Amino acid sequence: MSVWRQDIVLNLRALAGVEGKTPGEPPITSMGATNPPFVEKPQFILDHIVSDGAQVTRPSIDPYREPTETEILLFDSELRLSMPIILGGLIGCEPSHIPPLLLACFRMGVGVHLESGQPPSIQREIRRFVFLEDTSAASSTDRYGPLVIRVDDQKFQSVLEALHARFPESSQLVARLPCYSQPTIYVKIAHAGFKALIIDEDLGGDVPLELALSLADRALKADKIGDYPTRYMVGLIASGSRIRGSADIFKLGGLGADACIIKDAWRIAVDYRQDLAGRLLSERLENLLIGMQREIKLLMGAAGVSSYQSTIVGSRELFRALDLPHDILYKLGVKPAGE
Amino acid sequence: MVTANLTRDATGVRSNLVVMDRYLSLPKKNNTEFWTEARIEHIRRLATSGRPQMVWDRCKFETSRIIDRVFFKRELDEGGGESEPPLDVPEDVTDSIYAFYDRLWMRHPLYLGDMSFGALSGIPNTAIARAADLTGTLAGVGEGGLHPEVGMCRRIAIQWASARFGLDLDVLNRGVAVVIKIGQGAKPGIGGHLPGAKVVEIISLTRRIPVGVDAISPAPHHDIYSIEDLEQRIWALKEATGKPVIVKVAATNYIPYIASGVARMGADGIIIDGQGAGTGAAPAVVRDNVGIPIELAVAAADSMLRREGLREGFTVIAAGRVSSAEDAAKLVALGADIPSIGTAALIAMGCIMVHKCHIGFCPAVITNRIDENPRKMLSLEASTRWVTNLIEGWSAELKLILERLGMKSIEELRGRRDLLVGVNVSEPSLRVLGIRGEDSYS
Amino acid sequence: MKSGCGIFGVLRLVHSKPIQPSVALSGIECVRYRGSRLGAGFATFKLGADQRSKVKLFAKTEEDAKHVYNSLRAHLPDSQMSQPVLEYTPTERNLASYNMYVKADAIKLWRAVQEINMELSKDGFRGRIYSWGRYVDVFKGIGYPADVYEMYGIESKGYQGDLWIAHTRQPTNSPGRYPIWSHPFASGDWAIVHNGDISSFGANMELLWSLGYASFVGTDSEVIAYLLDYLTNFQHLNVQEVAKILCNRFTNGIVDHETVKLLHRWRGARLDGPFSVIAGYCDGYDVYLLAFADRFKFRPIVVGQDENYVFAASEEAQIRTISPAARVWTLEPGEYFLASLKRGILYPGRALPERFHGLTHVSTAKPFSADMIDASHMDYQKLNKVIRERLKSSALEVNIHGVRGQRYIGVGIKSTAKLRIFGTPGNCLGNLNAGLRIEVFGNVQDDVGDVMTDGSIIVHGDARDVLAQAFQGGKIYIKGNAGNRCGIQMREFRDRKPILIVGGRVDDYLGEYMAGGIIVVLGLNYLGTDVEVAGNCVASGMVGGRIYIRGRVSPSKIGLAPPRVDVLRYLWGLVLEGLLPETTYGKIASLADFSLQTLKGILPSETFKAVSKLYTSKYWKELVSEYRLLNNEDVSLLGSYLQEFAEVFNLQEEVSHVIRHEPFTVIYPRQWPQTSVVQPEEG
Repeated sequence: MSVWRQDIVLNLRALAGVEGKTPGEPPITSMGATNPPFVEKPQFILDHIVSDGAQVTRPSIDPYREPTETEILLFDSELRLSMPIILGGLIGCEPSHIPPLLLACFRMGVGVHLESGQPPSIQREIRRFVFLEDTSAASSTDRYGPLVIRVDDQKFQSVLEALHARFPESSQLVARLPCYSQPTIYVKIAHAGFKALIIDEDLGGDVPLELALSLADRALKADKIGDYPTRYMVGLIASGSRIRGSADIFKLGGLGADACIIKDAWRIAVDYRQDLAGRLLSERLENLLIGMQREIKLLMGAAGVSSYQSTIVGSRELFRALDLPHDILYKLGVKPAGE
Repeated sequence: MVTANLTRDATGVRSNLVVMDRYLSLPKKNNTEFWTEARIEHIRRLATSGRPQMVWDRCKFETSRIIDRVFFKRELDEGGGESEPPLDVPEDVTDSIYAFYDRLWMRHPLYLGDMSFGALSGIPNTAIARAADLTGTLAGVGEGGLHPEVGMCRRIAIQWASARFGLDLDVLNRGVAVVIKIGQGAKPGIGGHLPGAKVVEIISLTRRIPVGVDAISPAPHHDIYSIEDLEQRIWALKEATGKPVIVKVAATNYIPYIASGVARMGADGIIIDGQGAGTGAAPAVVRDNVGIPIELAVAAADSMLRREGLREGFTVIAAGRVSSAEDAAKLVALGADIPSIGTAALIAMGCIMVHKCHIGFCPAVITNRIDENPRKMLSLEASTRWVTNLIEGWSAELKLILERLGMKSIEELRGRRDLLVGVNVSEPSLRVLGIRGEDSYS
Repeated sequence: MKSGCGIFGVLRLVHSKPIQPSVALSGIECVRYRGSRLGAGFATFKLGADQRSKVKLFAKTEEDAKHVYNSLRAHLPDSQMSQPVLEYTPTERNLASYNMYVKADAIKLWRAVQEINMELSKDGFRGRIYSWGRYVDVFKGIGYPADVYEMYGIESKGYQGDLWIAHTRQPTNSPGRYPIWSHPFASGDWAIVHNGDISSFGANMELLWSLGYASFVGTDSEVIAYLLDYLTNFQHLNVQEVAKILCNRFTNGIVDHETVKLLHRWRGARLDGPFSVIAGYCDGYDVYLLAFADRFKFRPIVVGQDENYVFAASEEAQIRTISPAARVWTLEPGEYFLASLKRGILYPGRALPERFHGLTHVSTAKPFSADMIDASHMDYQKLNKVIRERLKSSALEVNIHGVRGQRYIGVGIKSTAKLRIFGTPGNCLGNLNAGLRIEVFGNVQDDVGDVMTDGSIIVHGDARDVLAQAFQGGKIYIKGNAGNRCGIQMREFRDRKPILIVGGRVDDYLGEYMAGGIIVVLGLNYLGTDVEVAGNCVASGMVGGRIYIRGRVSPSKIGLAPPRVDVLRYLWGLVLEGLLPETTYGKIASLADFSLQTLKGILPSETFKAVSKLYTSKYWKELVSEYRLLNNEDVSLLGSYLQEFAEVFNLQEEVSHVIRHEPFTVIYPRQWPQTSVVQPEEG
């Protein structure tokens, strides 16, 4: 079964303006749902998680007429993303597409994860939003933005030291690692000095992304640096090709992700092809991001939430699980529906 | 034709008007659907015959709701021997009840869910309200103001929603109850928006807003930000009308607390609308990711109401994917008083489930846009008959289930969770449902 | 209309006498209908020399109380400790309250309490320590406030204090059978009473867990007490900083970096969703009354002051019960109010101190005619019945005095008679009004004139929140200020056109979803200043009608604007791409405030189109805002109403000055011809 159900693809393309006539607008539908887990077959833990709707005990919020904040601060408030989204999966993109993609992301205030293929020069303002992993061609602007390095549960200290040596001024060092079931590894990496962790399902690991993320969030909360909980000093970013859009981002937020890296989702949404004109690509991408931000705001508003990072991130109480077994619930920290 | 006469005043009628009094054939579809062909077929048979078609719901094996995996032990004991029509409806079994602290008698325990004039195109609204009168059930009118034909029916519940469209003291007093709508299962916490282009003369009249001005229903009631604010509104409406006041909410995280709060605040009943319920228009992202299924919500609410000593006399109406008499019976066993149907009634009127209500071009002319000069309209006579038959046939199937359970009345079934067993249902869900589980069919 | 649990607080000023408990009782019993039998409580604070903590606990049996004593001894071996004393015996099968005195280091004591409370809930609930401060004494239980008052013998035992807070409870998210769920919730020398249901509960709990808090009764109110205590006494932030973090006020992106860092660092303590909180605190040197409201002001709260006391309450009627002539005002959304015993009011709960304009002090007026109805001992049902009876006997005028918080006055009464009310009517005055001419001598509370279709409501005072919601016909005149969400969803139909005039200022969301009729905000009490007399998000979602606001309204406050930083960054992106001259960007960035309308006048059409997507959506409707003197057309539309307004309140001079010489901000939606077929959509 494909991750990309027909309704998901159509909705993403409608957001980007590839389908339909209302780019950037959350797609409207009618009659009852057909989605997993009760009609379509569930594929991921996320398919079993639902978000709250404010009913009576507190009011919902109308994001079209009332303020709802989706901004995310990382690196001790040095970086402000306008929404909890980082664009990833740029490997294989036509090189001439990279500049318009970076520019579109900068304009919309979202991050970009560049695994490889660093362009020769990036403007300083844009560099602040680029999570740069390929440091081989390090340039003078690199001290202005996040630097990412792949680590695993064995080697992270030495890697970090090497990175520090090359970029002594950088305070935005990010570790990218697989989905480990062992919570202590996240604590160790945070203590080593990384300011954000990208938990990337595409790097493998021994548990699904949902569990790894939740375990990391809880482990970092249980740990302290000085008298301050580590979690509130270290950014947590979830990454995976199967993150399908705003609902997944929102639920991963509830399990602890400050932001999520989307990969296949944006490529499917903008109908990515090598011969796409750069202007069209960035326009579609901007539409998609505006649309996803609106969808996130709708979900926040429905739950009576006006501030994403302080109220949604790691706030499991706002979510419920449909028909998941005890051991999974325990690791997620999410209550079953009806409780 | 009756249909044409009824709408002439408001909309004018063209001579080449096509009146729909037959079902369309179902389109081939390539995606999965809760309302499977078999479910639609079953409802159509009930709607055309008014006679029971089955005892145990065969369609439940086609989907994987939790309630689809919950069985009456009696059915499992029977070992799958299928009963074929014609079925004899037991005459000594009744499904009548008294609702809202005994203030309203219901010949059948069925609430026809709050579909507004605007979401539906007028004739379906009238058909539903008339069917409620004819069958002694109850129809919620939704928020679109009171359609003049609907307003002539008695067994209607007037909706007080966040925008208060078309409401004043007289309108509030037209029904047998008032429904304060907080939310609906398909889009908990989301408001509504009817663009100005759709606010034509008749809509303007019923909503009491000028033609061409957008009609917005805010997401929350701006006078109800808490359980206790709700109390204030309940008693203001009681002070104004003296009628039972019912509160409609979507099933979400805190449903047990909300239900007990609603009861404690003096409401006469609650409508709980579960995930998967129908809608005229909703953002897909909300419909698909917010809210919990009705079976869990009803069980949890009922448990809390009992624990708090608030259950007696208070009426619990359960909505959201109620697709058969067996679904209805299970919801009653889990703690509901009155199951509610919405989509099933639309299917009875010819809905073919193409999910196009929000576009306004409904092939079955149920949710089509309200047009000054319609080319096609639903037969009021046929649609009233279909909904009436559906209810009577449904009731007959419910009585057959009661008979199999050895009961004489629906009252005996309420809260009898001990009659149910979950098969392949997760342990946390079983705990909420308050039933025993098995790993496989016994 | 925002009822809910009732909350109350009263602080004495240093020159006045200690506050008798009966003051707290009448302040909370006045809103008995806001609560239920399911819980109530009081807390009192007193500065003093006693260095011992008063540890209070609920226990199932005397043995359990003894057990707590022994556990405390074990946890704090070096401390002096008194034996537990029974405070009250429960009448039913419930928990009894005990207290004992302990002299111990505050942090060590906190740790011990955590451990003991955890242990007490293991293997079946046996009890709980619910207060352990040095200067605070908490009394809470099951029942109405008067029951709890009696239960603890608060009066007979002669408790008096510098500060009292009180609560009557309507449970939202927890059942109400144990007194552990009653308010106040205390932590160290903080005690709070709270009304609301915070959506950030989960996020706040996550922070508390990570800080080592391990035992909870599970309410959001308790969480607020812990956060206040932790941030002040463990992190040593000052009370005002802590209030700012918890209130979580909308900053519109304009805030200094240090504040951004503080709010981000303690994001786990920020509150979201509806709440109003009244808290007491003693730091050993001074006693504080802190009151705060959520960023949308979803829950009601008013504060007040007279020569002896400072007050905070859910409803004005509570304050009036104690001090008929007190000055009463409301908090701005997301703001806090702070006063102390020794220093008086430290922050008034509004960015600018309230200017009183409406209050006439006639609310205490004595009856002037023999047939005036004395409402002082009537509930609303009785009062409405008496009114109906009077009207049946063809009275054209009914006068009522002694009104104090009765709700629903005039609801369901079909008449065109005149209703004169002296006092403070409760919420939902004149809902569904279809002809009554109501005149109020005093302030009115929330949700006045909801779904009113005809008649009039004239208020010689202030109005609170959600005034004139879905108002569809007739007149509503308020002499003074009005609160949040005035005139939302106002609409007109055929010859029915509602008019709302406010003489003072209003808070946020004026005319939200407005679809017809006229709103005028005169701000007469701020004439001659440059204060903007309307709050944020004016006319957000407006689709019809007109709004007139005296003076300038910042463009970004009209409708809903995206964060400034996001707009500027987008524009800079256009500069980087070479689509916008840097000078044009510079011009915009240097503006203190701008809106889409401003950008339209500055940007070339292509770049304007690009950036407008940050502002618009398919639900967006262009709002026209003009800043100008009233023209002939306006005067012919408004003149007669304004004149009537001026006469009714005797404000002829001010009003005629305003009409002739003061510019207004006039807001209305641009009406495009209906040609495009939009996607229809509805629920």
